[in-house]
Amino acid sequence: MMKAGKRREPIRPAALRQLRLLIPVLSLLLIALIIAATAIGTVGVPFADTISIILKKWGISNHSTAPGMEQIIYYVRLPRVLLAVLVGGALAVSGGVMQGMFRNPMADPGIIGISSGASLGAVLAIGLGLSAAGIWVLPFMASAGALAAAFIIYTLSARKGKIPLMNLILTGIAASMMLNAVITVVLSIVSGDRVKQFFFWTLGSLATARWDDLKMITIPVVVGIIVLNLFGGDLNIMMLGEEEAQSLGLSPTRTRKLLLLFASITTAAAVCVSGTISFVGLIVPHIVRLTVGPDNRLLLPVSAFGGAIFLLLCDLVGRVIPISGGLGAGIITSLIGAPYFLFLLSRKRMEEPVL
Amino acid sequence: MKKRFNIYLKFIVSAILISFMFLNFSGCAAKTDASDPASSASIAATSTVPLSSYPVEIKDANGNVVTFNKKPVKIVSLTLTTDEILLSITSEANIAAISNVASDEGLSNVVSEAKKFPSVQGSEPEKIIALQPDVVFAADFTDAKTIKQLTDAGIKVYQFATPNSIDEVVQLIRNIAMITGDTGKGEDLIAWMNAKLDFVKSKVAGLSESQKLTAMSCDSFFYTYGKGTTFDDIAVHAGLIDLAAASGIQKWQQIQKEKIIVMNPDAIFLPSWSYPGFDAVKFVSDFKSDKSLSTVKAIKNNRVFSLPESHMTSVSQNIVLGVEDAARAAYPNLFK
Repeated sequence: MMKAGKRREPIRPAALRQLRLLIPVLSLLLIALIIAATAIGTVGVPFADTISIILKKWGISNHSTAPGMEQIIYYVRLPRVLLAVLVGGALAVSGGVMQGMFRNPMADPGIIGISSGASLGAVLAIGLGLSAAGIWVLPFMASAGALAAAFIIYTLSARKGKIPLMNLILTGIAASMMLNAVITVVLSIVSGDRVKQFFFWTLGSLATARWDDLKMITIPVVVGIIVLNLFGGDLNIMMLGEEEAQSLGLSPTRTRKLLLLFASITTAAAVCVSGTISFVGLIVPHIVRLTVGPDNRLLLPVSAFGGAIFLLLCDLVGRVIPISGGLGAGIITSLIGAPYFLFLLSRKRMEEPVL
Repeated sequence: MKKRFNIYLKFIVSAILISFMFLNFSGCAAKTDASDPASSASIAATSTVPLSSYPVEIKDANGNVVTFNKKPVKIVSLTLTTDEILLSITSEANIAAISNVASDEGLSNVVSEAKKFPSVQGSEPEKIIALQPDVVFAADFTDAKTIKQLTDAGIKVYQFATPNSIDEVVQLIRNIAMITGDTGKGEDLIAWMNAKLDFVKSKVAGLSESQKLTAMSCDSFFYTYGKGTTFDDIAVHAGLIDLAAASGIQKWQQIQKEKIIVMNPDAIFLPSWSYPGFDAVKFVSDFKSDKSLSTVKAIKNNRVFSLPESHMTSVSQNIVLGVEDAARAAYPNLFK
């Protein structure tokens, strides 16, 4: 954030008014969708019973329901829905920050190797049999892998204390390729069951969500989202360019470091319980930008809600789709996100001169 | 005085005798239903496990003690192994759901029975919870978080260690029988297994070490199975020498064609189960016609076997059918 005493860009009244209107509306929409998504599933639970069960856990209601319904709602669906909200919000905000930082609408948290690093951490946990030691091991190693990858990529791309954007992107791509090669080597050594376990992790799913997962990631994700949102104004300034940002009293390098750090932590916390879920960080900020404009002070908070709603709906589709066992949320986001990404790519190509 | 003493003495002795008879009768009620084994046992059929009287406490694959205070009357089975064992030892009325693999004709020995029950998978916790089972039988390879979801919801889960030998299959049957309160039927099942093994043993016992065929297995991913696997155990009981085990391979390992050529087995066992993305018939055909393997004895002498997967890879009681299949395939002359 900007140093004390420096002029801060005033919040435009229009943007503030939009924010004051959007946040409550989006909050109500999100709450309604959470209840609806919790009520819907492979086993029919009446909508009213769903609300009663949720209220019962808070001691507000005493309504009795059919055997098993409370357990389904409270131990299977509700943690899954809430996890979708947190993970979706985290990925979307991190994606918005990446797009602002790189001034590229096709950037997402994967660009700095977070996804590859998390995958490597996960495959090592599974391949070495460490994940059997406890259910916290896999998320821990995935997070450690994500942060380590981001740190290494950042360090390798730094030049005399500065980080040229192209360096960061290219180093991220190269490092991701190297990490994926290491992952392939590990997978070629381990047994079939472990390959299958890693495969399901890479698909990205919230199917085994538990309250313990929520306890583990709520604080880092919520704090990460809030902190990244506070950088919205600085991100606007950085989008003007390095020199312009410096002339306005902002240190682009320091700001970029902080943004990368918090985006990495937020994303790592999210993927450590969900596995790699693609395209949320890419398409949600992009769609939000088309709706509310490029002001990051509006874009980032709305992206948080947008990502939460998007992933919640994708997970719901994956749950109710008539395939035995359902489909992971990561598959649904890829089915929607990949065509949209290609559409974005085709639009970008049309705008650029052809060699 | 003496008369009164005699009356008391008779009363005490009678009470002791009646108590003894009662305990013996109730404890042995299940045993009276057991049929005699067909022949002498290769594995002791006498159960060293105490007969089921609840509460039953039993360790699962993770070392956790699972307690059953009463006989489970609503059982969910998430694996084919437990499907096959349960359908053999417990009343169908006690089974609430079985695995979806039970209806797979290429893998299951209980396809027709499976039609009577709804199927569930570990990835469907809502369906499992809705059934409100007294116990869920799951394998040690079931995702730990899936198990935790069920236990969080108050569902009792018994995770069993996947057997790697016939002895471990026997122990699994005993554990399941103890949980379900069907120890007598469990012992019946073990006696049937022993009878099968004894039959095969009677045929191959006369083979000297030099007469035994060397064998190896090769699955669709070119994994071979060595020491500490069910294939090795099947081979031993069938009078074969598992070359992978003999060459020091522990568990399973991917094997290159060069290694197969060098090991030069007398017999090779290939998969028979086709699934989306894998055609077993084509795999076997390609393997047999592979020119690089043409010098391998198994191929030269037409001893490449593709036996029922439902027997060869079974870790339920039907593993003994794999023993019989392997012995019959390798030594057809001994079974005439």
